[in-house]
Amino acid sequence: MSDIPISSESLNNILSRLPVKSLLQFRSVSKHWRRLIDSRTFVNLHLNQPLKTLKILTLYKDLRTRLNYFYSINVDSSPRLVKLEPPFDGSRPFNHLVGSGNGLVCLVREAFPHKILFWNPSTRKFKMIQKAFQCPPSFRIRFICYKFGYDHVNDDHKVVVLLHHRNADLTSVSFEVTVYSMKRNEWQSVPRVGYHICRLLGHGVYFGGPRSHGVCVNGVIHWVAAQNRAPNMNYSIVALHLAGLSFELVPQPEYNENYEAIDLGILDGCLCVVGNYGRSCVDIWVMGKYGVKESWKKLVAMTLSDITDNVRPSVRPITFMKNGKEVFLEVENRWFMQYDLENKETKPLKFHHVSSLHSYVYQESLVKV
Amino acid sequence: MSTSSSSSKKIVLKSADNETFEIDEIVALESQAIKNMIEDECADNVIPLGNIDSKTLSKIIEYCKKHAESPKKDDNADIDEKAVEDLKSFDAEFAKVDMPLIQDILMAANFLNIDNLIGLMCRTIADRIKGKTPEEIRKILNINKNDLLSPEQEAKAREENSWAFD
Repeated sequence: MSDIPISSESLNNILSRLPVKSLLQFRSVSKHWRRLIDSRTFVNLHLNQPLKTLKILTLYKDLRTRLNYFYSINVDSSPRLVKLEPPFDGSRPFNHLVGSGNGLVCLVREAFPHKILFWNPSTRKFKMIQKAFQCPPSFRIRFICYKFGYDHVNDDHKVVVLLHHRNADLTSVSFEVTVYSMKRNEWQSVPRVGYHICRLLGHGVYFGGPRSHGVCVNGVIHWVAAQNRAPNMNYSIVALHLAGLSFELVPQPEYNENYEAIDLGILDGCLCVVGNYGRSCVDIWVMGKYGVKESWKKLVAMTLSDITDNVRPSVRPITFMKNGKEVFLEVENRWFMQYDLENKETKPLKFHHVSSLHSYVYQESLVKV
Repeated sequence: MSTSSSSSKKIVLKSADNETFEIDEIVALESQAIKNMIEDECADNVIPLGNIDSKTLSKIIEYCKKHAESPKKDDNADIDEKAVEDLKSFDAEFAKVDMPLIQDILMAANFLNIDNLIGLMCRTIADRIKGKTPEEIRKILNINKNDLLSPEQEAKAREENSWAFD
């Protein structure tokens, strides 16, 4: 009986349980296997299997060599760093990691013209595009904020570029948002951004500060927008839907502290707010159900005054560890920390000669660039 | 009305090589396909399974018996961990058979629609081919020789992801 070949359905079931490296080898088992492994259906099946392999990708800037290095970190309770050899010249100091989604990560090289790189660290494949930006006459670019995310409605990876202009005498500012679709390989500008932002938030809004990178959750890019200057700062979370390119505000938690700064993060697919207050105190809030104000819960409340002299340390949640009891955090863009949710202990992981580091979680996948 | 609680309803399965197996209905219900037949009242006393041989069928009955006896996960949230462990070690033992039989069980489990068993067989095959070379897999799974890549295609497939073959 066993001379009858395994059905395609069973073969899908069997192969979707295997790691990317095995699958790339197994493309040469037979024509049938190669066709199946290369198919979009199988790539998605493999991506959505229950036993996902999550890894952390870290861009590490070395203080001495001034070069960039890439590391992959496993999310077991004793993390190990594995140095990656990127298939492109990743060592240049002006590379930035701007996000991950659906198996891919995105890097930007901010030397004119800007270069945007899409990379699947699991298959080691990448693609690069270029982008030149133009300002209205007499305006200057105040800052450019890149963000990368996955639009699950259109099954598309997108790059969002938020441009903040300012004219020479600082009397006028304007925003511009352009979106790149990987699937269609084209740029699209979001119309009347200034109007929408003003409608939601009023005038005098600005994005940014050095920490405001934005995060992509649920096919929506989020930024922190601020009104007024310190100490009467008024923060909002502005969201741009990747599918419809519409703006909205996201409800915030009922804060019980007066935060001097807030920042956004992502944990296990949920939007997080990181609030700083007092002397090196940090709270992390998680929105369990997207868009529902009541679902915000404070996950972490910690004081880092024993570990850092910085009164307002930046803390980026990266991922839950495999055991589900610890959170992996990036602190001050220079070191990592494991935070135990049960006994509230912190375990720092520091490095010598680090200029900065930046990390995102990605899923091992066969997703094509 | 029978007063004896032990005399549960019986079902007879007949294999391709005409061997009959009398089993409790509760055991047969592990198969979604048989369950549907019974519910639609289109099952006679004897259910013929013309594409499953007796060796495979007796393995499948062994599996269904054990799983029918074990408490189901959704019956009770806090079933004792011992029962879960017990079932796990049964599954591990059950899967220790040669590859042709695994493939036969998988095919029959697909036909009879026994979800857990399909999962167990697929996981077993995946574990056995992980870390093997394409050549070894062709042998293990008896891949059709007419479907092999030409030497040029194979060289290309290797070249596209040469790092994966290191």
